[in-house]
Amino acid sequence: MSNTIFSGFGYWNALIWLFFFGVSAAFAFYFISHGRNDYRKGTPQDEIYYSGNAVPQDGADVSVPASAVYWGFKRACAPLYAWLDKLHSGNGADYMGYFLLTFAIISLLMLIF
Amino acid sequence: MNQHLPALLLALPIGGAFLAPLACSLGKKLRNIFYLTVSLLTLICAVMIFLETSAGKILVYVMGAENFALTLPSGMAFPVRIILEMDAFSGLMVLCVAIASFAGALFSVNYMDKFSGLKRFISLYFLLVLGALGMCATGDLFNFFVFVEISSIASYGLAAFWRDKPESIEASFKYMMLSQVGALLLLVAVGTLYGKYNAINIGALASMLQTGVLEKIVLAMFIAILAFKCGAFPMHAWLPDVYSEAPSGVTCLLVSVSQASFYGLMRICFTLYGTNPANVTAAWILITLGCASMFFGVMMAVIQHDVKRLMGYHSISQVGYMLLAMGVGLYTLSDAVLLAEYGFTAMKGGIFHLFNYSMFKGLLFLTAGALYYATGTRDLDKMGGLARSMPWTTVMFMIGAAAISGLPPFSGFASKWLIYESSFAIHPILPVVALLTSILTLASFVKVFQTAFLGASKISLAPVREVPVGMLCGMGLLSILILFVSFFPNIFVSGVADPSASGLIDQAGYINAVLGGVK
Repeated sequence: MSNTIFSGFGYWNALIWLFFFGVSAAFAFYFISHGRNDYRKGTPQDEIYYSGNAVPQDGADVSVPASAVYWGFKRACAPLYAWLDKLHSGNGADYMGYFLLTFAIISLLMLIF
Repeated sequence: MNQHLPALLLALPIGGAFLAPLACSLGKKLRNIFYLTVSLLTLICAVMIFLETSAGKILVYVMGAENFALTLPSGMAFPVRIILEMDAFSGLMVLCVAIASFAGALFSVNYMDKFSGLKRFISLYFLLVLGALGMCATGDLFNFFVFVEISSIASYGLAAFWRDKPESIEASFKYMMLSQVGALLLLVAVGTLYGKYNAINIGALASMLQTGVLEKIVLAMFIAILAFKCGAFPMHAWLPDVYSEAPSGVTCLLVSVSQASFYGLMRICFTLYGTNPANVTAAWILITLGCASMFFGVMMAVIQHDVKRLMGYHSISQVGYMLLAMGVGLYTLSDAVLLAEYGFTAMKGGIFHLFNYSMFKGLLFLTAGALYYATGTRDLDKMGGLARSMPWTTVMFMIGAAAISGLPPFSGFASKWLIYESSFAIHPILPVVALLTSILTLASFVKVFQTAFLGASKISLAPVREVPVGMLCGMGLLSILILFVSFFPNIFVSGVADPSASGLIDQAGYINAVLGGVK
C-alpha cells in the first residue's frame, strides 16, 4: 500500500522521511563515537559551572521564567504588541464593537464586489 | 438499525443529559460508568455514521414523518419536517466531536472528581455534545440555529462551572453577550431566507438561491457570525478567556464545537451558495480572515505565560489555516480547471488540518489540564523540571506540540504542507504568512516545553506526581490517533479528506438527497 500523498506540486511520505532520518542519525552517532571519550561520569566533569559561584539548590533560582523568554522579540515588535494589547482591552463593549464592525465591513465588501 | 443512526446519534447525548442527575444520585462509581458509557456509545454511533458516509453515501433522516426517508410528502414542493442530512464531511465532523467528547470524558472522570456539582457538569457536557453533533447532522438552517443555541448555552454554563472564580464568570458573561448578538444575527439571516424563499432546508434553498442584494447581505451575516463562533480575528477575543477558564476536559470538546461552526460556514458557502457569484468575494474574505487569524493569533500566543491562554491563542491561529485553505477552495469552485489544479488540494489540506487540529489541540488542552491538576497553577513562570515527575504527560505534550508546530513527520506537517503548496498558486504571500505562523508556533511551544518540563526541579514542585490513569487514557487516545495519522497520512487523505471535499463540492448530490432529483 502506498503511503504517499501528492499535492500536485510534490509528494510527502512519512516512512521515507523516517528512513532518511534514521540513516542521518546513524551517521551522526558514528561521528560522535569517533570523538573524544575522556568523559567520566561522577567526576567533577559533571558539576555545573555557574560563573564560579555556588549553584543554588532551588531550580527556581536558576531558571529563566516564561515571561522573560523571547524578550528581544517582544522588544523588537513593541509597537505591534502595544496595538494588540489595546485591542485586547478586556471590555465586552469593545469586543462587541469589533464584531459589529467586522460584520459591517464584510457586508460592504459583499455589496461592492 | 443503521438507517436510524442519525437519530440515535442525537438521542444518546440528549438522553445522557437528562438522565445524568439520576445517574449521579446512584453513587460515584455508577456516575462514572454512566458518563463513560454514554460517551463511548456516542463514539461508536459516530464511527458507524462515518464509515457509511465516507463510502460516498448521504444519510437522510426525517424526524416525525410516517416514513423516516420521506423527505417530500405528497403534494409538497419543499421539505417541511426536521431533516437530518449527512454526507462525508458531516460524517468526519461528528467523528471529530465524538472522539473529543470521549477523550474529554475519560480525562474528566479523574480531573473533576474532587469537585461538587457534577450532575450539572455531566448534563451540560452532554448538551454541548448534542449541540455540536446536531450542527453537523442537521439539513436545515433553523435547526442549525437551534443546535448552535444549545451548544452556546451549555458552553456558558461550563465556562462558568467554577463559579467561585471571578475570571470564569467574566469569561462566560462576555461570551454570552457576544454570542447572543451573534445568534440574533443568525436568526435574522435564516428568517430572511425563509421570508424570501419559503424554505429553510439547505438543499431546497440551494436549488433556488438567486444572486441579489438580500442574498449577499445574508451571506455576510453567516460569515460574520460563524467566523466569530470559530474564533477568527478580530472577533476572537472571547476565545482565550473561555478556553482557559473552562475545565480542561470541556476545553478539549470546545475545540471540536468551534469546528462545528466552521463546518456550518463551509456548508453555507459551498453547499448553499455553491457557484453563486457572491462566493468569489466570500472566498477573499475567508482568505483574509484566515491570514489575519494565523498571524495575530500566534503573535499573541508567543507572549503568553498562562499555559491555557497560550493554547487558546494558538486555536485562533490554527483556525486561520483552515479558513485560508477553504477560502482557496471556494475561490476555485466556479472554475473546474483551477479546482482540479490546486483548489481541491487546498480543500483536502483544510479538511485534513481540521481533523488534525481537533486531535492535537484537544490533546494539548488536556496536557495543560494535567499540568494544572498536578501543580495547581497555569502560570508557566511557576513551573519547571516537570519531565522528571510527569514523564507520560511530557511525552504526550511533545507529540501534540510537534504536530501543531508542523514538524515532520507529524500529522500537522502533512496538512500544512498541502495548504502551503495549494495557496501558493493564488499568491506567494499566503504560504509565507502560513510558514511564519508555523515558525512562531514552534517557538511558542519550545518555550512551553523548556519552561514547564525542562530545567532544574523547583523545590515548590517536589510533591508533584504523574496524573491518574484516567487522565492519561484521555490524552493517550488522542496521542495514538495523532501518531497513526502522522505515519499513514495517505489513509486519511484518500479515505477521508478526499470524499469529504468531494461531498462539499457536490452541491447537486446534496440537493438531490432531499429533493429526490427535483431541482
